[in-house]
Amino acid sequence: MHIPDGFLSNPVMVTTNAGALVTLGAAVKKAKGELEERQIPLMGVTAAFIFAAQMLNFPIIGGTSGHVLGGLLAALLLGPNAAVLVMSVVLIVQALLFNDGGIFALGANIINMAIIGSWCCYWLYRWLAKLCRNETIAVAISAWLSVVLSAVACALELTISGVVPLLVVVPTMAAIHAIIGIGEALVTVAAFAFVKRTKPELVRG
Amino acid sequence: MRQNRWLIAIFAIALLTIALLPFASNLPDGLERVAEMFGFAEREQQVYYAPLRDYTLPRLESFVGQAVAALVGISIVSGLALLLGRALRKVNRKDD
Repeated sequence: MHIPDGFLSNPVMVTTNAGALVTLGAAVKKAKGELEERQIPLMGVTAAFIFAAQMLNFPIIGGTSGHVLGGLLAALLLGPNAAVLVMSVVLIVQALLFNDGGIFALGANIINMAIIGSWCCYWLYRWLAKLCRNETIAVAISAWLSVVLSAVACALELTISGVVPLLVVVPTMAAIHAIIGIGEALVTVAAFAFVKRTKPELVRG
Repeated sequence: MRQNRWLIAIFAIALLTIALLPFASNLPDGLERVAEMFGFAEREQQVYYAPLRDYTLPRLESFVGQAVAALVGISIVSGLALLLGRALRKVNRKDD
């Protein structure tokens, strides 16, 4: 769901880039006090995993494909602030080195996939985990939501840019990503369980 | 030893990715599909030409090109994330 250059209007580009910049600045400040020495290598592994997962598209129905975003998994492993930064590093490298996502659309892509898909959905997960008292179900639902909400945010940005009407793009993007989100939920549950089992001391939960 | 374990984990992710690359789908992703459906795909503009465009090497658009792109990408993102982590770590390092 990386938005390329040319899709967004100038006001949307300016707003999303400014919003992303301010939020990342806040995340740097917050992550500074939180990050423990032993989590640093995990940041590298998480970044590698997210980049890899996003390269591997799987087919869904109707001649469409999708890939895992990894935002919620990153937040579960590193905490929401460091996760937003790792997600953003991946998005920036994807845009600069691989033309995956536009240069001027970077702010929008960071908002959709890092800030909404990782940071916001982490707090959603915390709330859900309390509500349903089952960690696995909370992980699955919030991983699924992270993809759907990122897609809805992307659709809204396109609508505000005047590219496509709201009632056309929001339901379609949400429906397609509701299917892709199932893959996200499965991979997130499996990967989180794997790390918890092999390195329980690293998981922030 | 502990450092090696992390490097092995990153290397394992890279190997697994390369092994799975032939099975990855080339179909348009959700947003690309929607852009085709509602006729705004042609709005896309190439304002910048990235060195490893579309996850392949410029004149080697094969499995090898993709594998190199995966290795380069994974090395760079994990390297940057490690540097970021070191820059952000807690300042109280008296007990090291």
